[in-house]
Amino acid sequence: MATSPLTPSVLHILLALAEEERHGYGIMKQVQKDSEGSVKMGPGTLYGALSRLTKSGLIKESESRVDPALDDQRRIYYRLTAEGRGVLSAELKRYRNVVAIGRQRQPSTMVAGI
Amino acid sequence: MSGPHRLYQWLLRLYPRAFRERYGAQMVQTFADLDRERGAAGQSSFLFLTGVFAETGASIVKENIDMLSITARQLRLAAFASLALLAVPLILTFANPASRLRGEAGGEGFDWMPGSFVVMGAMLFAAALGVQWAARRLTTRTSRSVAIAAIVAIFGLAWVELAVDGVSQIVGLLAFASKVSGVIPALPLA
Repeated sequence: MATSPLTPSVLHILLALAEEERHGYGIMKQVQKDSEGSVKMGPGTLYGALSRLTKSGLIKESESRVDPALDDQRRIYYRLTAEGRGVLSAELKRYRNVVAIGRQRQPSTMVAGI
Repeated sequence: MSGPHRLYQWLLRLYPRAFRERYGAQMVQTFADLDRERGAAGQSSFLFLTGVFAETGASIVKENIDMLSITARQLRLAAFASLALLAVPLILTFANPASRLRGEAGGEGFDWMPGSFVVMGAMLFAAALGVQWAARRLTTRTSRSVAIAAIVAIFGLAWVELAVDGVSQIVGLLAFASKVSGVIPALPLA
């Protein structure tokens, strides 16, 4: 997983966890917000991805159990591991390189500010 | 708990057990969160349920296929273990100067026929798969122990029967003893 491009769902899950620990529904909402609704995932896709990311050591369950807003101790939070942060950085670097190549080859089609 | 929630919980039972135990409760909770969000937004219940059930159904298929790939690894493990154990009689047979690979050494060390290796390999492979199945699928230590002991016993009995007709001889002896003593009811296999 560390060497091949990440799927959009996995990239967005890692991005959602880059800032803070989140539970499943929180990840879902953050992904929806970050992607402006273009990446939609249901519970099956989300927890399948969380399972694979946990097995590959990119994320892990957090010690935290309580959502201060919802006060629900049953919620399980996830956080990025150091390896997950490294994979996310590498993927973002790959995207930056792709954008740089795009700028060189088709500057007219690139949106200003990218 | 509402009908759709119960139905969703039932649907989750189709996931592989390990996945369901780890993520089932979280998925039910996320389903409830999404349903609450849908209700607040005044969206169609039918469309929501259809979408979530279809998406979860697709995920169930994927997770079960993933589990089969684990089984493929276990198949390789069973094959490796069988071949490793078969190497013992193979080495002993070839190390035996009296061996002609015809089973005619007359008790002078190992002299297995090629067919014996095939049969023993199949028995070992089946036993190894059975032990792995019991270890993975059965939930309590007692049931695992009983199942593994039964597999080992069946393997041993089959081996003894194939090697020296051991089981048939024991059954014959019991039948003979029952006939002579008249205490034990006569066995049908006399």
